[in-house]
Amino acid sequence: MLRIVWIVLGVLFGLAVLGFFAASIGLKSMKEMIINEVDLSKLEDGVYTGRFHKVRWTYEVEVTVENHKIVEIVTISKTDDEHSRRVSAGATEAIIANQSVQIDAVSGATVSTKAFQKAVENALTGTED
Amino acid sequence: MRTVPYTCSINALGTNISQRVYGINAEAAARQVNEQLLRLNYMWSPAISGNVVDGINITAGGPPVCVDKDTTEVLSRARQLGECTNGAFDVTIEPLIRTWQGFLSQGQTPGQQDLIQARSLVDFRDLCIGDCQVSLSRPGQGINLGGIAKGFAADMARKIYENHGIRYCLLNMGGHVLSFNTRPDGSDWKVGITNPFSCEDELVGYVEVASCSVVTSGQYRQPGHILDPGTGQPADSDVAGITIVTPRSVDGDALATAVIVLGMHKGLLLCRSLPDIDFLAVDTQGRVHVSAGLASRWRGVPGTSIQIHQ
Repeated sequence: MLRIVWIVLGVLFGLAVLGFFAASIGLKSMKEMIINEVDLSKLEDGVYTGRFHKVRWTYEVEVTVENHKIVEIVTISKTDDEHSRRVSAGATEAIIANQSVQIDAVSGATVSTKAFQKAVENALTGTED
Repeated sequence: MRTVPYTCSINALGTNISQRVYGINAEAAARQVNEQLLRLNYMWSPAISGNVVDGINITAGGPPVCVDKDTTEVLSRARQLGECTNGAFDVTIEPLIRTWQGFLSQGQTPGQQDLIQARSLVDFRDLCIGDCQVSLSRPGQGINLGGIAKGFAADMARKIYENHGIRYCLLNMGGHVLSFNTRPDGSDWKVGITNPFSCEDELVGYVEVASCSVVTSGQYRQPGHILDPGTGQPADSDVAGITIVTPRSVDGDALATAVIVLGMHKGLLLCRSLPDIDFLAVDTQGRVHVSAGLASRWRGVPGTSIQIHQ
């Protein structure tokens, strides 16, 4: 198994209680950020580490690829933050299980999940954050 | 009649906007909607210098500037919404946003004095609107249309669909979903509502709607993005998430913001005092509250119980 490890000092800002504001700092570019599809057929089996950091969102993840499929995503974080943990857990399930909901549209956007997905993408493409 | 919809999506107004349009003129209608969305985006984005909003803000405290009809209309409505929400929604919130931006970019948070200063500049009553002329009374004041632009865009899109004889349509702006008429088979559109405590793919349930907007906002998914004009701090009430369902799209976003600022008690009282407003609110304890008009149109995920407000 090839293990690619980046030295990352993941500072998890924590979307904690007070003093966090999201109106425009980073938010606009976060919302417009595109999550790219990664071509898994080109990836060897292994555990890939990556992170995504923008202003106050930081996610560090370890992605396990086997037979060109993502089989596990583990969130590594230095600071235990409840909200981030909740987001990570839910987003992990969504990516692996590819839940589909039989509805026409969903009202309610999230930004934190994108940061997490970007961390996964960075892990698999070897992008330094 | 086309049963295959014309679909497309663009990035505008800070989000990805997709359309699913049914009808002979579907493509023409969708293209016109996209054009208009991009136009509004250009005029009202807080990030484009020299645009309409910037023009109004940099002349605050000075003479009025001439603006277009749409800007006049959205600001008039914003002012009225400021009145009816008692300032919980305030389109002149820009000084507070700037203050937070400035400090956060240095890795700091504003102090009490900074917030008091900024708050003193926030007052929708200082927004003077004439015949296509707009001004702000005092230097340092500013408008931010982030909390109302999508609502206005939805109303505008609806008129374009009507003009093109569109039969059925769904316009998805993320937090704001506009349903135009029903699904092609006559049944109501199913619009999911996100669980405010978890991530994107988890729903608390869905509503069945036709010919109205479904607008959802929450505290936890985008923490701090709604500022309380009264305290200057990010809103910190007992509302985890709020969904407003209304045929008056332009009001939906502003009311959702107001409810988060006001909290469950005052927020829901406000909703119930206004005509044509239905709501679904999740409080920070996880309890789901639904307006009487929405109760029959709501399908919760198994295990959810709701409290119905008459």
